[in-house]
Amino acid sequence: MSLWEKLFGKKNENQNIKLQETKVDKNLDKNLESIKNMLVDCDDIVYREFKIGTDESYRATLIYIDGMADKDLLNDYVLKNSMVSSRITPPNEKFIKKELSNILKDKTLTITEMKEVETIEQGVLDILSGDTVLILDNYEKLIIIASKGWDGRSISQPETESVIRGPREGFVESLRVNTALVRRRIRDHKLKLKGYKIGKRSQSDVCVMYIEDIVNQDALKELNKRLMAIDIDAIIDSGYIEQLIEDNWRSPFPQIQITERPDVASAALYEGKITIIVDNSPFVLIVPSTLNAMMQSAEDYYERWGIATFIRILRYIGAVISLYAPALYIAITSFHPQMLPSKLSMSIAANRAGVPFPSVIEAIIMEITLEILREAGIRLPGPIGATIGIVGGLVVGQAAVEAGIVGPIMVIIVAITAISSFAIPSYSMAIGLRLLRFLLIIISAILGLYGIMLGTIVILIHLCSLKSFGVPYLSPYTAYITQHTDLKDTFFKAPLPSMHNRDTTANKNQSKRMQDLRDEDFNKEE
Amino acid sequence: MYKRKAIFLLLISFLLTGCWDKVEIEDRAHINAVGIDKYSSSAEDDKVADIDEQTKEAKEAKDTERNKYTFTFSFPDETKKEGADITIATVGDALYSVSRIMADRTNKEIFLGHLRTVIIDVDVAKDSKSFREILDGIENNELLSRRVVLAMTDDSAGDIIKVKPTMQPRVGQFIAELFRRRDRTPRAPSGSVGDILKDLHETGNALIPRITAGKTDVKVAGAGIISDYQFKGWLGEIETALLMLLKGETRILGGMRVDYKGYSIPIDMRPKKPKMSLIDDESNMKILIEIEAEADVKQTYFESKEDMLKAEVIKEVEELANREIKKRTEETIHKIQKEFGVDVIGVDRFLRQRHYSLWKSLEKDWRDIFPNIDIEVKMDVKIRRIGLIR
Repeated sequence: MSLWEKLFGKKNENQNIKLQETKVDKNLDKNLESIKNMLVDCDDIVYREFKIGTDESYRATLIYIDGMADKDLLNDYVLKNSMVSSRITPPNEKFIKKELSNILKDKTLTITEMKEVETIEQGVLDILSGDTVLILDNYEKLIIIASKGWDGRSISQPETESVIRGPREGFVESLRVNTALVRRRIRDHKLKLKGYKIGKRSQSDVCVMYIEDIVNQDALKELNKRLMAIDIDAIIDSGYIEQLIEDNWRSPFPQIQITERPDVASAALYEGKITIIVDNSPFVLIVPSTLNAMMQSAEDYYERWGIATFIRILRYIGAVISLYAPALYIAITSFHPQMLPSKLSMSIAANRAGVPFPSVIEAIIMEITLEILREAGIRLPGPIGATIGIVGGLVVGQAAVEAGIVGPIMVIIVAITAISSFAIPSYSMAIGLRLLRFLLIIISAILGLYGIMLGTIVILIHLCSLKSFGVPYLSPYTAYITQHTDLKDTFFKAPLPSMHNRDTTANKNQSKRMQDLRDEDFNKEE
Repeated sequence: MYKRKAIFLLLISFLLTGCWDKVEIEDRAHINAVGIDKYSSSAEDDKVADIDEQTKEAKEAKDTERNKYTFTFSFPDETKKEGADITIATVGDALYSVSRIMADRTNKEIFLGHLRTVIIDVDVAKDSKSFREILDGIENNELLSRRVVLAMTDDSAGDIIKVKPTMQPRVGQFIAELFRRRDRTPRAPSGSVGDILKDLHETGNALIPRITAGKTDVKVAGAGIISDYQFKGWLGEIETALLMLLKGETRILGGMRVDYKGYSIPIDMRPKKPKMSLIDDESNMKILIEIEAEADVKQTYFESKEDMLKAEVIKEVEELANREIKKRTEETIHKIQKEFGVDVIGVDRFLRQRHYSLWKSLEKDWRDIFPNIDIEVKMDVKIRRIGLIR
């Protein structure tokens, strides 16, 4: 077994640890005992024991977590109803004995959501999720009152995907708020939400959303399979899920699109894609995803087609620059200066005359400095961040040139590279290209333009081999014959009235998404 | 194991084919002009070349094959902002090998990728063998673009390289720019190596522009006629201009004057591409070249009675211009036919393209036939612009 395999190889352990199951007992004390045993040393658990009935003959206990359960709800609609109202109403003694649980459920507790479970473990899990357990004496089930209610961030503008035109809502950390945000945009009973609990200890809620009749069924099956195969202790963020279900973890390219915007998520659903919402994460995953999707921004669809096309082409240019600019500079200046115009070549030579490093070292120094600046910028407190940008970018750059450590052209190249990489809408795509840039810098320093061509070929081969949930990563560019209709929404975006068809990756039976019933000419005189 | 072998083989094939000639841009001497002279031991102002002569071996090898030419290179001095050039000269037998020799003398790598101008001494061109050597050296070098300017000089090529033009201190750049402005003056043929090599490949004849050195500038005017890869003779400035007119390579022909009622009126012409046609007389072959041109008359004389608004004046001036140009072009043709006997006008190309069977029968003896054919020129000048009139 090589080191590589030792470190990264697959270990299919297949140890299915079956959860222990304890049936709920008739005896309240016994149930309480076993719950307390499981939750020993958990000081945030509140046990509220009380009695029901005119003669206070029926014991009951509420168990919830302080801070996670909605106390107002418990006070006003659970405790008040069961303690006070049950005393005011004259009870039918005979009746109440047998049917207490039904009376509570059907008549007394004025709350919207409740269910019953039969095992202690399930009950404990619900407590830990923020729900409240009501234990009744002489009843073999636990009543679960949905009382999740904690303070969360309110809906605000998404920071990574801001647009000029378009909705300002962004996903938040709470799963149900997020699903509602999507649901608000899809009033279709075909929109399905499938819940998973992933993470042995975290038991995180993961919600898979799709529109039943347009979803790519193969991808849905594959996704289900992959989600079921996850066996991890905790899911902290949707990034965990992304890394555990992506097709190729060795690739620098993200194969799953992430978004903070409910409009993007619902648009993806309408295209037959699947969204995965993970509790406690404002980033929603979209599968299957392609390179093309990574280069699109929500705003493309809200603006008119001409400008959208122009901006998309700009983005592709930006991607190419951010990937190649330093590598090309090195290759051309150190191997093929005949490719430059004579005057430029001589001025570069003059500028570089005092620089003590070869251009590749120069490029690496500047790129690393830039990456440090960028990384530092994230952690700097807001108001200082801008200052550091100016100090770092302008002052250090200028000083480095004057000190003769780097040439001015290199500063320009690095600055253009950094700016261009921000033109790519997908952050994970941009950071993928950042890594490849270093690879190209090194190979161009060894082999010149020939090396850049080799690197490009390797990158293209890799891109062609990538798939995201069965969909080729480069589609629809690579499949002209079968997917040429999808080309309407790639480098250029066709005018909306001409985009009649759904993506070919969606369900084939639902390929039509629009019929053009407009008049030939709106202004036609009758 | 198989996989590892495959990766190893791939790596080997990549690494062995790469560009391993990495030289940082500031470590290259961007040669912008080269002058090629015949080597003579008495080159006085070749101080740098003298270094070679000081060594004993070089002295002994003076007249061997190795020292056939003196190459003068000029490249920019990057340490100075004003764009001053450094010139150095060396002896050697070929443009390619000389950069190896130079490696002993410069701290920079000789780099011909930005070469703009090659000046050849006419003595080199007079010797067909050495001229063909040099031409092949230029054509074969993968770094030289087809737009490199090739010019010939009567003076020493090294002297021209050493000129520091006041307008643009880089002489190679300066000369190349002179040629780029060729639209404005037709007094020299195209200097681009691509055109010259094409002509030479097709017929063995070509025109190479002539360059002369001044104190602080150079002048490009006139042409050297090459026949059979060998220098035949010089063509004057006006003659070159008229020849260019015949070949259809002029956009503006200035400097023509007509004598109209005792006054000399300058005429600027914009000729169209001339039409060549074959008139086959029984006795002799006759070629007719028809040239249409638009002309500007921007100056007559002050307070003239015969102003250019009158149709008959224009007619007369046009007539005079036709006659004048016709006369002078025919003189030029005559000189080319009789003195040089080299078909640089392009009749051979015309015949090959339009009258192939005839050309096939003439091809072998064309050199003898050309001086004796009749070439008639028909001018049609139309005055279009007459400037402002009070």
